[in-house]
Amino acid sequence: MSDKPTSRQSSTARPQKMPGVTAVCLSVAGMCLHFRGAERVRLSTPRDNYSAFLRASPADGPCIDTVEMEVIEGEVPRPDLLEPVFDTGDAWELWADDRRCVFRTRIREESGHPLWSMTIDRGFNHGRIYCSKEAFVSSGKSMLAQNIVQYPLDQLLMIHTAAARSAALLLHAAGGSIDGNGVLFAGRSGAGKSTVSRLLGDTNGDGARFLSDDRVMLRRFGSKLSMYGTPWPGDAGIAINESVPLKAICFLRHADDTKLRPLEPHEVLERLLPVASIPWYESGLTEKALNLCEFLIERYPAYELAFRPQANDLSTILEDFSAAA
Amino acid sequence: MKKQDDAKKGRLPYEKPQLRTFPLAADEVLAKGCKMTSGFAGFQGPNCASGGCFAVGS
Repeated sequence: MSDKPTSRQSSTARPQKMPGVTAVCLSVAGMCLHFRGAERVRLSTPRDNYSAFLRASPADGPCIDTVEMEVIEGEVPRPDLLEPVFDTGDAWELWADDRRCVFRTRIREESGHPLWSMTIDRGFNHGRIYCSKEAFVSSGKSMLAQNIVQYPLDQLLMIHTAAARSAALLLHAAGGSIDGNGVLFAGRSGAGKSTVSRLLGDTNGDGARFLSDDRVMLRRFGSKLSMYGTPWPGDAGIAINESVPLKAICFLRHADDTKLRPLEPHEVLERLLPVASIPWYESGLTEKALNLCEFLIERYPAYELAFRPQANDLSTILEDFSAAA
Repeated sequence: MKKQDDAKKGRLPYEKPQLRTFPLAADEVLAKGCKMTSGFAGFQGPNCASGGCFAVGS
């Protein structure tokens, strides 16, 4: 009998690659969330739309703001000594004191404990994510934390970090570059953001290039705003990690005919606030987010884009924007 | 009388401020739920697994 291993034996003898990573950085609009696993904790990386927004460390690309988050295996601490601030009822809750904020998912494991809890300082610089044992899959000597570095934890962290640092604002809007000019198409769910993204994006080869069809981050640089794609797309699945200088904002409305109407500032305010991710339950963060809204309203032209979702041609809108720019 | 005085001075007449309210769509902008084909849902749907969401449009 030969001692030579069969190909099957050779395959099983080869060291297997450990699943997950020890650290990963999610970068959106210059804000880098750097997640690191503590001790034997490894992290599953989010898939699909996230890939263009991930890197191994903050040093691997442009990074203006960094948030360091350590992922820990262990009992989720009780926030009893903190004041309850906000409870969504079915998604997450926020507790806080003068020094720190604690976000806890409302998803419970069988024992009734939250699946994860996130503790972070008021400046949103450093934090810890405590994961209960049910958030992990055992993999040899490692523990793989599943589905932590992704929605909703990542978006929650981005929204509050953006406000805390007066850095940026997440909008429920599609965003496209039309001849190099950034145009937002904002609206609530069902307003037609993905539809407009498809229609304008398909108009012609040199027309519009969309960065997102559902969530766009705005970031201020001096007297200008830039808009960025995000890893949270809509039905059209558009998630491009690029930015473009903002030129105008459109609020979508269903109608029988296509029409572009300039809006007065008070009309913009009424349409902007419902699509802006503003932490209304924290006055300090609210004030900072509203400052960015005010800047947007004062400095940038806004329109109402009435359109018929079934229409297959919005090319006149492209011409209108090109003429205005 | 007051309006007449304002008109003489070339000022616009005083108008009482009006309070307008409009809904804020917290469900859609505060990482509160997943977008499903039937609208927004909490974290109990088929796209939810171990604390994360696999649906687009969230």
